[in-house]
Amino acid sequence: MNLDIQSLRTFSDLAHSGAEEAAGSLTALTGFDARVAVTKIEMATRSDVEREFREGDLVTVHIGFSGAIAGHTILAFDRERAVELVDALVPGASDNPESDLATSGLKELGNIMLGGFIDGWADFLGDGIDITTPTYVELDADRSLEDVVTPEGSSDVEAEAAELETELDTGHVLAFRNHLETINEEAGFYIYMLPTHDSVDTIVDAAGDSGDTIPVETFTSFSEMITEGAGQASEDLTAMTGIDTTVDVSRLSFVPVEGVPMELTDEARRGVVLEFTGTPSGYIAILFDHDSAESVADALMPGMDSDPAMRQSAIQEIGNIVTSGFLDGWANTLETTIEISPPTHVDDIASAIVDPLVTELARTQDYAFLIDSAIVTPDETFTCDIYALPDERELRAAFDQLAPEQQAN
Amino acid sequence: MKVYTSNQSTEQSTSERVKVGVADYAVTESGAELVTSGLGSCVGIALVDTETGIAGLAHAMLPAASDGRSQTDGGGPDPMSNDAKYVDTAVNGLLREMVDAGADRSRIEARVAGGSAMFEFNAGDGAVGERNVEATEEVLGEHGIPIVATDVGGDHGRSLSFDVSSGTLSVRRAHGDTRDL
Repeated sequence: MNLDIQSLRTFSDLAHSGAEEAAGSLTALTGFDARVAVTKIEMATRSDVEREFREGDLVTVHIGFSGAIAGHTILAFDRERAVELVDALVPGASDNPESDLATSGLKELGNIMLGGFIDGWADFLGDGIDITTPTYVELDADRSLEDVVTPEGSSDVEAEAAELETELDTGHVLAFRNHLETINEEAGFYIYMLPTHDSVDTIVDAAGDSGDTIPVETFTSFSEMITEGAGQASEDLTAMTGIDTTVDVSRLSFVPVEGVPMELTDEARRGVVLEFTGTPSGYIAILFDHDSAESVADALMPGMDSDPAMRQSAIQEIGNIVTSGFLDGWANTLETTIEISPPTHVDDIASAIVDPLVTELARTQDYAFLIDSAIVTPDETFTCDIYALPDERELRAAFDQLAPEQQAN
Repeated sequence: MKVYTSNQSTEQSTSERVKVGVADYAVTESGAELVTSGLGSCVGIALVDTETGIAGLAHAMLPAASDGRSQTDGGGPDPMSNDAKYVDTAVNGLLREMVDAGADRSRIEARVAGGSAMFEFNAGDGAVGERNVEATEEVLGEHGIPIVATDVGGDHGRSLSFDVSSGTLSVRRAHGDTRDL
């Protein structure tokens, strides 16, 4: 399975227009005025997807597909939103959200929205795609995706479901994640599409330019490198603060540049912004919410009566440590040098902090590789969010450097 | 197809609040509140026809479409490239839609916010925020649209809320400081 930038753009475009179709169906059926906020392509593992469903307390409708391409689509709603939707679809059914009447309303909505989403891909490929009947699932601690990517329907679909299942077990799949929102609400709906590796190849063949492709294994390696970097940053943070930390999230995704600030809220965040230069160059933001920033500063200066300037320099030092931990592994793996600028302290609207970083990239690229990680403490003392934005072409050069090593392995 | 649009069509519904994304604009004739968040070096341009109440808000990233280098990857012009990303094309698009909806150019006034310089990067050629503001002044000047109020520059982010019925553009900073234009 090889990917190239043109294919990623085509994927992004198809996923976005498919999600717009689905948003249109949602509006027509329920009266909720929905639109597509962000379309992302992620290299995801099974646990990434499952975690998001659990943490977001999302209820989901699943549909398998096979034919021109095969895989799995998932429509996920916030639980509260699902109840509202059920009431719009089947008045009165929300009195008993667990009832068959309520879940069948959601399944029908899933059928129409996901059907519309998949139709766009079939049109693009000029070939038919069959979908299974929808399954309603609440992912909780007792259920995993394994239980829901269950073969149901024709034998073809069963075979494809088993294939996707194997791929989910063995590592990364390409996940298309679309965030839909209604006018007044930030949170809302998500459409996931998880195609099999063969299906990704099919789409790449139809969309891609022949040259300049990157084996998907390279993306996977890079994704692993990012995870290792986040792990190192977490260890360094623990060493410095004396507080146990773990990496909660570590993701590589491909998004239109303007989608990056929309990943963040307009709440205030404190932290640092740094520029890195080398192969690749880019920008990094290390951000804490107010309480996390205070906790981190306290941890660095235990029992000290510190003034704001000292606390600011403590945050800057933390930013330095986290960034070094995060990027040193990249430099080692890529056998290159990455220089890091001094940290600039920020205390501002989260999305506005990232905006100038993205704007710099937007001068030369329309899409960005976004690396986002979260380091957390088990006792919720603090959360540290890391956003790294490497230059797209330089990252590709880095990918190329990574590729020969894999062949050697 | 465009990414991250508010359908870029006149908002006909009576929704009270319309979110404008990054590299996006929206027009309302229903007195809705137009909001956008997270302006750093980006610039927010609020236009209103004071008589009809037809109004629009744009959130643009870069000064001019000619600055965009969508073709750098070797392909032709990028069909995904988004007019609302650039100040010049966003203002032109916004004005066109407002006029289509019944606004009269001679009655339109502008409020502008954003364009800050939050960081000094080595790699960039700097001052994108400042150039965004200059580009806004230039393109509005070409259309003969007066800028009645601004809150631009500085080194901090802004979020905007445009109350179309009163014509007030509220500029909010982190930690809640708000200034009305």
